Amino acid sequence: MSKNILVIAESREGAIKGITKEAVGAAVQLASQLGGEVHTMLLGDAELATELAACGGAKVLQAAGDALAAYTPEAWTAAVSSAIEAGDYALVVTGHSYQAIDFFPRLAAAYDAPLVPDVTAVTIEDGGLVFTRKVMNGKLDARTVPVVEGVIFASLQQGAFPVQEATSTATVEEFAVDLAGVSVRKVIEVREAEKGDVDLSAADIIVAGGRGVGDKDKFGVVFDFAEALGAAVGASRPPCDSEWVEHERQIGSSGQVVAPKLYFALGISGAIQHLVGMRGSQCIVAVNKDPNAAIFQEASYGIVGDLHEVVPALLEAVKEARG
Amino acid sequence: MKILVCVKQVPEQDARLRIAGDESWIVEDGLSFAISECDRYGVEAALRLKEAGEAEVVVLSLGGERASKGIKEALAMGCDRAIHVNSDALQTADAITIAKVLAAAARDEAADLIICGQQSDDLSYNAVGPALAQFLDMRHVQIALELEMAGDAAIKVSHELDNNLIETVELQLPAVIGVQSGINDVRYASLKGIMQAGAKPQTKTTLEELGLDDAAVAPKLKIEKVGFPVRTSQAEMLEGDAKEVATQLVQKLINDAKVL
Repeated sequence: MSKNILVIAESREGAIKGITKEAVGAAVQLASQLGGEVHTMLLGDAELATELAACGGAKVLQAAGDALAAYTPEAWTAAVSSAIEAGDYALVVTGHSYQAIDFFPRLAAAYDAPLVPDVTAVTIEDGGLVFTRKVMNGKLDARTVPVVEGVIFASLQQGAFPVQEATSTATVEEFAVDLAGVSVRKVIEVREAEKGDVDLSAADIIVAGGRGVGDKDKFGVVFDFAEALGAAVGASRPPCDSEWVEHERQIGSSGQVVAPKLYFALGISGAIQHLVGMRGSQCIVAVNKDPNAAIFQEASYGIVGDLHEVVPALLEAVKEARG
Repeated sequence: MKILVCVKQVPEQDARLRIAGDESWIVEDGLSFAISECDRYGVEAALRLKEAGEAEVVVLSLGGERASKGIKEALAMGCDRAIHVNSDALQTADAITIAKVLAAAARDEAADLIICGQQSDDLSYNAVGPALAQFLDMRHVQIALELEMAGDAAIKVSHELDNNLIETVELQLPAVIGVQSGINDVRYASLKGIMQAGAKPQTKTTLEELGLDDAAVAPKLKIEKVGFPVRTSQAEMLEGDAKEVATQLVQKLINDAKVL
């Protein structure tokens, strides 16, 4: 059985992404337990090979060519397939990014192989890989094991695996891929999502509301509390989806990333897409009815209760304390 | 033009979950089930494409008897007919296996467009759409935000990429689209829609009838155990009535955390 691991790299603005460095670190640890090697694969971005090599592993497979100049699921699937055919891998890993969500399932389906998305922990037990991932909107951890032979595909949740100091520098090898026969979907344009006028990044205090606020009218309590604190108002995805507040207030992987001194998460369950946008806050206060809400994992202070009772009381307490 | 829209029944999002005695899954008895959130937006997206042109919208659902409720709702919203792959066996199966079953059910329909939610609220694999496209040898877009027909044989789709980028692509049909939540205002079924839903054609089929034997649908992943996360952070939980916790919290934010 193969013991090697292949890591698919991603870049952003001319640098290897943090999520890739996390994946390489996790792969190196697993490979050392399995007694195998880590190979990392760079698609396009030839100039980043040295940076990727410094992240660790034994080999960088550097695949270049016109078809890899920009991401497409078809070219990525074909190129990674070539690497899998040429090597012999127990596990193919990448970060659980939007790009991975787009092409990794295609790749796993092409191999009719297990796909373990959005992994928060991996261990090796009795020689086999054991994955932990979140289910039921982040409320539960599910211990998940592949039950068929052959290559396994896994994408690792952002921030779940700390970046490890590299113990080796990989050797860079050019990896030739023939993508002449691959037809890719037609890209019309790539644009930045509209940012709008709300810049939350400068706020010292952010009061954010989630699905638990209830409806558009009830969101007024979030604004009232924010006003009393001199805070900015943010939201998780559901209130923006339901148009209780403007989309530009969304905090998370498809919104703004913030790190204020104080962050109130009101009626926010704590889906990972939200957590990655606010985890860096200095002090997090969570108010939620559900004692098992994932947000309490991130909080400095937690209150289990109805935010519509707690927040008005908080507003009074703030006014009192400030005289 | 034929549009197939895939829906899954999942526990409602604010359901209080209990772990089953053997810890292999949650206790489903007593939970309310509903169409998974992204799938609802998928139904709406399909109906809007139908209204903008001319199309038959077929709802496809894999699941046990409770899937009937979601099918009925989708028909009441305006879908024209339904295919129910009736199986309890794959409720917690992995995305590749689920996609394989949906592909088997979709193949004979020869739909021009297949719409799925980009993830389900229960297992959240974010994977069924692209995997389905692979099995059917179609193009796909995942995490779609905007859909618009580009003539009769192509669709223009904007979708989320990393780093706050939005990419617009044009796909020749047939294609599979995985839609994000929040992309439209999902309609409620009208009274008329609800009245008519019962009379709309529903096909029930089984894994066996789809030509899928046990080996073909043997899951590739097993969920061995579920549990509430062990609290790893230092969260200090405040207890008392609203006024008490509020006073405590404000004092702590001022004196301990020094952030107020």
